[in-house]
Amino acid sequence: MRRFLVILLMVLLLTAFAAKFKIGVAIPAADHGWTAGMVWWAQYAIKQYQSDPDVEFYLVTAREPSEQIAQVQALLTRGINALVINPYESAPLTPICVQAFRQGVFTVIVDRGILSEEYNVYIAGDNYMYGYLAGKYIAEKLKGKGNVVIIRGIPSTIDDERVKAFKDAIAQYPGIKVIAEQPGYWSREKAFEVMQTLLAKFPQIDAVWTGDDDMLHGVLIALKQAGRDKNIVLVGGACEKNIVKMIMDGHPLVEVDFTYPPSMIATAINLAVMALKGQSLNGFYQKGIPRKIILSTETVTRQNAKDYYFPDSVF
Amino acid sequence: MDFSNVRVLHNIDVDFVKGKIYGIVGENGAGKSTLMKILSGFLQPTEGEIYFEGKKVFLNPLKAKALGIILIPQELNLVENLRVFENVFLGDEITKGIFLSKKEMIKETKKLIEHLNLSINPNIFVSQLSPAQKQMVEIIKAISKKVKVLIMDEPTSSLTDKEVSKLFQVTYEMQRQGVTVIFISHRLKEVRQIAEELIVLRDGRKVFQGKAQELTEKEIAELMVGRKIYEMFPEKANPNQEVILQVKNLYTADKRVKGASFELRKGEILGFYGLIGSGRTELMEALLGIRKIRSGEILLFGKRYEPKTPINAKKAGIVYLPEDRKAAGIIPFEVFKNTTLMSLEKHSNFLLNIKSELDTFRRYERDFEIKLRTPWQLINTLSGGNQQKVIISKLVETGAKIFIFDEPTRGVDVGAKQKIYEIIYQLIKKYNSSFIVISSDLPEIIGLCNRVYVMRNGEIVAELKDKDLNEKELIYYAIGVKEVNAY
Amino acid sequence: MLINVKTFISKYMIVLVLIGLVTLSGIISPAFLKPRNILNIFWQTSYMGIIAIGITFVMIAGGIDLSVGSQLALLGAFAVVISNKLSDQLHSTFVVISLTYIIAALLGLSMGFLITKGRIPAFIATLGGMAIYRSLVLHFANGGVYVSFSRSFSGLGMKFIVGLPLPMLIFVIYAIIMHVMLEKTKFGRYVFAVGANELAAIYSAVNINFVRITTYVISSISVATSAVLLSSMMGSVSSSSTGVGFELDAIAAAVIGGTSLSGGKGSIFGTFFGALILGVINNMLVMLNVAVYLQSLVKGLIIIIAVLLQNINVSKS
Repeated sequence: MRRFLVILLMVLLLTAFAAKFKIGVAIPAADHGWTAGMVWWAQYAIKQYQSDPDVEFYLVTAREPSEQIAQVQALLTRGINALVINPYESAPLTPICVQAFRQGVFTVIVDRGILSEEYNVYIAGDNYMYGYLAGKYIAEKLKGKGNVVIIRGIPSTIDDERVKAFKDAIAQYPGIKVIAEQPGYWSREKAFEVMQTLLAKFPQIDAVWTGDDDMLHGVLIALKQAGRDKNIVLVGGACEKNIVKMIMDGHPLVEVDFTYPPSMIATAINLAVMALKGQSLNGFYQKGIPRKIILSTETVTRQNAKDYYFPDSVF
Repeated sequence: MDFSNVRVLHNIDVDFVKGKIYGIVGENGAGKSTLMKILSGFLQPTEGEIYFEGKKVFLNPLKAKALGIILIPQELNLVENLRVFENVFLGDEITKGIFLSKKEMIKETKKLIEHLNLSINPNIFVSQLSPAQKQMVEIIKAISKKVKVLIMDEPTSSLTDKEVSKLFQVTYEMQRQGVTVIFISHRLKEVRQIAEELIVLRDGRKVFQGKAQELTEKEIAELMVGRKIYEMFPEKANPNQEVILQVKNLYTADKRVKGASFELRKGEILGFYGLIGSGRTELMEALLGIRKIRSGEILLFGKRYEPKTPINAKKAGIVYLPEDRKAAGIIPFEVFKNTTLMSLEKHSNFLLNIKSELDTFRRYERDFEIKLRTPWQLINTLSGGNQQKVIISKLVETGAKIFIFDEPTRGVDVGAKQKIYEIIYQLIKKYNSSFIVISSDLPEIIGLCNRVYVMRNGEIVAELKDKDLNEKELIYYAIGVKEVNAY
Repeated sequence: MLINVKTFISKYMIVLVLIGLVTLSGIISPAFLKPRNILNIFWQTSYMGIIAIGITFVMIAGGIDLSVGSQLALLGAFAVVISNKLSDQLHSTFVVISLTYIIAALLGLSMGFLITKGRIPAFIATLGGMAIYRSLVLHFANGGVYVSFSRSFSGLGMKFIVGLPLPMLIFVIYAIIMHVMLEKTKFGRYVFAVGANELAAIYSAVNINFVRITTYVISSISVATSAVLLSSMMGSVSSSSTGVGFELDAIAAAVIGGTSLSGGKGSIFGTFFGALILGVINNMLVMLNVAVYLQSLVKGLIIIIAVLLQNINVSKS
């Protein structure tokens, strides 16, 4: 009898330890500024739960889809209760995410969607408004007339969506012409090269939209080097800390930015924890976590810049 | 036959009769290879016609093969990583539907092997075969394709005497089956032995066709070269007694050389004879610092010498002419750069003086009679004999005292051979250089060397000189008392 | 006479290809031929071109260096960090550059030893280097950007001398010096020998390990040169994206220029023009406003055609 009780006690203790919530976080490895930012924010969010004994995190980064699939499989074998994932690519990652969902793992898809509705929560930035607001801003700033250059990111569906939205916005202003559309691959050096070449080709450029602050840095250097850093409207995106600082300090060329926060991963992680603990969001009459969340694109100007300035962040 | 603007073959008229064995000899550049390539369809003649079994034909490699004209090139056409039967049936595999019927192919191959009285395992990889066995596989391949005219280019260059006689047996067997065999070779003695009819080419022309046994080797050689050949081998020098290299009880780490001890005297030509695998090359590699030595002592000019690396050896005055030119002798860039490679310090202050390099090369071009268009040619475009002369020039430029030549006239035509012997002789006369020559060519080693060590199974088993230096003794010690079964 | 024209064409085919591309671009988009744009092309090509020249040595000796892209980021980050720590004066920039070269030489030596004495195949060793260097850069910046606060350091990359951008001048001068080293020195001769037939080189008493290790040091030194120029011009190094893909571009430039992937063949002249061809292609894509998704297609096609044209001549001769 005594021995049975001791064993029972041990089993109970073990299960008590096992009562921790295990949360797997799978994101792409840092291959440019924004993704590096996401990695940083994921680590930041996880750190906030340091003193929470009920949750345990496993963070993995992948350099390509097959690696991510293998990582998620490993996480599932480990017995995670929730999966927070920014799929490297939609199609290849869909099966494993669906499998996780069907196994009862609380799946939160971040930023890039999957090709199935079998998940718990989808949270992303607003790619459409991101491009649209930028287009609207530029069109209005140029008073409906001018030459615009688009330097876009790595060719992808996300990038396509933004560029389409931008063009939708300026379509209402027939005087606004896109004179060049070239990829900068979200890299400073590449954007610098492209801008340098475009400056040589076009004597008159009225606005440049990069949709990314890393590339905006490259553009600024090119403009400075060519001596054409005046009378031009510049719009980047995603609120990199140095650009935000420039806006705060009243930079003559960079006056506005639009959010596409890499910190959405932090929110996603929080949502996963809340879901496992059975919590709900403030202000909602309904229980549980909303299924699809599109974070609003906020416009950052000189007035509110300080609210968007995170000097410790890497992005 | 014309190559760009150079006429290579002029009005060659030959009739090959069924079931006869022909030998074709000629210096490098005489047109042997070109003629054979035309006959086997790999080249088109610019003028002239070919008739096969009475019918005029225009050949390409496939057509030639289909007619039964098969060429076995010098470097062999086997795939090392495939098995014997796979090689035999390469391109003509036996299939059952879409699947290969391995069993059938192995059976057929075995039949052919037994037919020729050989004992090769059809299922092993070609890489595991000896050069002689590989030659046999090529012949089996040819038979399986119902060969009618078998052309063999230098088939015996890597074979020992025993293996050569085996090859001859097989050749006679082919003749009995009505196959016409054409033998191209530099080894005049063998050609005289095996061929019924001899064809001599010189400068693209046929200068003789007739019974092989009618001529002596010397006469054949003279026809090839077009001039009187003086004694092939210079009179043997009388080396002084000073011992410059002493090797005592040398063992290599991989046990390929076991307890070798020998001496080299100044001004001497010292020979090393033995079967393939007897350890001669391995012993020399140890002296050069390429093969690890486990134990033993080497005294060079009386002082202790530790080979370590070829760089060390060169400093000590020892240089080596490798057995395999293509793999280890030539660097496939310009000819003159090969000559100066081991002595670049002579041509550079800070930067290389190309003119100085060219001048040096021109000297050798003249003295060694190296035939080429321009020193800027790539060395691979030169004939075997000329390539060898260039490599020798590289070694001579280092001012070395001891030259180790490993099979120096393998794949080299008669004219170049004689020149190389002359070069050796001149170096001894002028600079008192000393030579170690490894050779499997009995006439060569007997004619050239003052003394010969015979090696067997990694050990030195005999030292022969004067009247003991003859074919019988050499073979006796090389093989040992018991007969060695090569197959 | 006819033979002379043929050999001339085959030797200088690559220059003809370049001229062909330039002419084509100029016709389709006249802005391409503006002096400012030509200057830009040289400028933009310099960074990759300097690295390509270094890698040519490695490849001729029979090796390969896949780590150059990550090394660029690592050395650039190092330069930025050191320049930030020192005082903002001209002589400290000199110190920064010297230290960067020293680290580069050490990296090259290590890689060289791993490949020769360590007997690790060059592909694997440098692939490992590629991953390790990038990992180090990412780690110390937490994935972010290394920003330079040193005026004198940043000023270096934007300098113009006799009206030409510094990187371009260095690219050209470097090419000339390296050409002389490859074609007219003992060392250069040995590099060819080792790559063309390693075994024959060993028998010919060439110190092949020394030669190989030195080529990796040359590669790293080239990367250091490019790193200093690039990081000072951009004023920053992105731990995640700086240098990504450079190794492929550098190798492509060398191969387009006639360097053989298996060793024993190559020239600085060829690599120089190979790099320029790649630079012209990149510039063409922007100038002609080639659609985003077609860019890789166009680039790939032009590279293949450029190499084919050169091969046609090789087989003829």
